[in-house]
Amino acid sequence: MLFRKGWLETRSLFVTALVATMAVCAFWTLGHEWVNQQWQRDLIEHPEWKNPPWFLRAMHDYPFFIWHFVYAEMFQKIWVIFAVLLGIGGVSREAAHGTAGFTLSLPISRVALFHVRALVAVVELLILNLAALLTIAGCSRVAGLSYPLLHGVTHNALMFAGGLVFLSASLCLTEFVEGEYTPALVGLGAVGLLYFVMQPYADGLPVTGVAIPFAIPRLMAGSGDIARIEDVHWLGLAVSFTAAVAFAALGRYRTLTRDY
Amino acid sequence: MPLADYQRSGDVQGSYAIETHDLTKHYDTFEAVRGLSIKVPRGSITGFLGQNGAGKSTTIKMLLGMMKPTRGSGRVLDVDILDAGKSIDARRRLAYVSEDKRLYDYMTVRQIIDFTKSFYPTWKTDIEQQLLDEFRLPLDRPTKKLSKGMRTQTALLLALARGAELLILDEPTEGLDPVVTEKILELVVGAAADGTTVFFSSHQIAEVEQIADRILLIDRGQLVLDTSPELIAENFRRIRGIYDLPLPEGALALDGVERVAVDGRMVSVIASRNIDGIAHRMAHLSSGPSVEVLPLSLKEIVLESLKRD
Repeated sequence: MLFRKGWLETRSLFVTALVATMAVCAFWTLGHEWVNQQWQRDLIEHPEWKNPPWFLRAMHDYPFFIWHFVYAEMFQKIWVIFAVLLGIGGVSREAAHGTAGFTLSLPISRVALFHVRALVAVVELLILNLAALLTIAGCSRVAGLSYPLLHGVTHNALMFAGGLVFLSASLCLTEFVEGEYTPALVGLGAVGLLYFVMQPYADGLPVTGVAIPFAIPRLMAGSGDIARIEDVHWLGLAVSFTAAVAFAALGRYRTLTRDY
Repeated sequence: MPLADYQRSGDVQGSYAIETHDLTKHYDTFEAVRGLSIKVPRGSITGFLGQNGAGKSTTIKMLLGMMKPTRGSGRVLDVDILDAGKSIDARRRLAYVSEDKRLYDYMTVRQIIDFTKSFYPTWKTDIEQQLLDEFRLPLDRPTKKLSKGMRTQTALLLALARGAELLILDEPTEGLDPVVTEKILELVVGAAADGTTVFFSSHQIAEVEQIADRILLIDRGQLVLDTSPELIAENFRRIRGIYDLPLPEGALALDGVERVAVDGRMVSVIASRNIDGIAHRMAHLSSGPSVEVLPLSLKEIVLESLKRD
């Protein structure tokens, strides 16, 4: 029943994220031809335009095109926002909302409440990855394009493993920042800072040492040639995953020890 | 003897549903609960009275393990409130209705009943059905769309159908109309008649007087009164005398005198016992005073107890 509670609690958010994921994936697969034609016209009509480094490759390499727009950009951002919002909640939010008394009077341990919530979030994130994989595969077939399944599986696995830290950080944040909406605002603000302020500077840095935390979006995306196992940044993933475990442990400890 | 020390006579040693000793909670420098020692006998309806902010909800939260005491100890249904593991066992045998009465917005009435039911093997389906019929709750309506009265009724249904040994209610009738309030008080009395211990906080003196067989009064985190309506009726009296001259200091330092108030020529004494002795003494303090002995209501006792020294 706790799982059902977790599902009911998050289903609106989950359905929104699922629809957004499928829409983004469908748009960039079914719309690939239209986008490409537009680019061809732009090249002819505006030869003076400066094109970004990925532009020419994306015109001719469909898996790279999908990687760039879906896994490195839009789907990744949807995934991260959803991970942060899923982590916000639990008994802390219930305390702000007025239902914590009801929940904590039930014969359930705080640990169980924390674990079930985290597990529901993990499963929902995995479903998002699966939905992206299937939508791209299905829509590519409809559009008459070929997309290697291995690329999709690897990119989704990387996104999940590298991005789990967002969920954990959010599970932790919600235990430390009081209020019904404040943790979400703080979490999304941090994500915005990472993606829109720090990321442009971090893109030029090698993924090593102190740069790793700022390179999480790159770790989640992997490279455009990710089918090669040697392109996976194992150290970065290990650091990100360790941070995820640490955040989750801290959040769990705080859940156990705080007053509601 | 101060009112706080006045203990209900006739208490027998035995099992208590709730016991606390020196229970204290500080928030930084603010003392929400100060050295609270109470005992709630099994089978009783205990009213936990106090003004807003007196420390009632904080005490209840400590009893339920939602807050850790700064100092002191307590037992609920013989389980140490500091033992997080065992408190699950206590929570299986008790029911709590919080002050907010907020329920999960994302569940319908039916869903929250099914959800709650799943944790209680002793769930009373007959009580659930009886209360559903009585309250006429809309099962398919999300709880966020219920009126405050309906939310309270749903919360009470969820509490009463658990078949709990102990019912802890935090301000159960706050903000409700008199009809719903009456219905809820009847249910509480009915639960107690079936053997459930009821511990309910309130700042409504009238409803405590109506149903409680034991009264605890808390003020600024401290217990100031522990008594029962019967004892108040039997023992507490106001004794008034009118004197021409000021009384000598310490003239009324007698056994049973709880409080002395002087208003001009009138001296008013609140006494909890030794009424005849005090009245006799007051009658002979000076020549020809008129002394009268009057009964006291719970409201008067409470107001006297809450007067700041």
